[in-house]
Amino acid sequence: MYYICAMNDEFVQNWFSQVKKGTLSYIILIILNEKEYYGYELVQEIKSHTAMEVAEGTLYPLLNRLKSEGLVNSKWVEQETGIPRKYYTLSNEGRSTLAEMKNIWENLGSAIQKLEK
Amino acid sequence: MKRITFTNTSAQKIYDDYLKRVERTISILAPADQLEIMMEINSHIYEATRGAQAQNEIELLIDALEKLGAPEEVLQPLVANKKVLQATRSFKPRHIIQALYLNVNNGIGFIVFSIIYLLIVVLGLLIPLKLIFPDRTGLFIRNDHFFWLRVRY
Repeated sequence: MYYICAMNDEFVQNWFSQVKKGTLSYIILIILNEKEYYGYELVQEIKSHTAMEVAEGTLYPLLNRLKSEGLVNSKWVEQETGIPRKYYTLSNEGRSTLAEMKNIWENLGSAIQKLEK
Repeated sequence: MKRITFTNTSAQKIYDDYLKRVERTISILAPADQLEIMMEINSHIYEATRGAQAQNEIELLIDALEKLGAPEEVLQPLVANKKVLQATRSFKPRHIIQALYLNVNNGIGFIVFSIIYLLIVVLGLLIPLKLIFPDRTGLFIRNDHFFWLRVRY
């Protein structure tokens, strides 16, 4: 006798939302490791890589937290338009933190792969 | 801070109203922090609506503001975080109480810290009172009743 079990979509969505929330800092550090980005540009880049459906404004508090943790630096750059851009870069501490996070992520990935076999 | 100028008067009003909401949300912060946040939000709106023509200006602006979200909600964690930093720098009771109030929902750590801070304030008040009114401040046992940490009149 076979039973057809429906996937618990709500549970999966909640889990996925928690995963995205938990990995957002990691994603930001990876993006900033490539080059410097100004606020709006960085927010668009984050959104394009994470398919996030969150308000863009929520990413600024997160960037501010990364800055207060010393992982990210920022500087205002004047523009011809008179409205400056705030550029974000990865600090040295951010770079070494990212290396450690990558290590943890890879270990977690291989541990899950082993479990799935 | 240089504000954005829109051709469409309705777009200008929507933008001005949004910035007023941002100003209200962050009014509790130090002036330098307020300016930093205003500039960041202003820059975001400018970049999102850059190159807009008069006919699609309002659509682009509304879309940008909707994506940014309600300032009262999205900026709350930023306000709470900056208030904590301000409180730890200044250590003024008013800043500490505001920071605790804004962060009390952020976890058990802040609740524990609130209780400890309250005890520090209470003890700070009781020490001079004990020195001035030694017979009337402290723990008293009388008629099988005891009163603790209070000033007896």
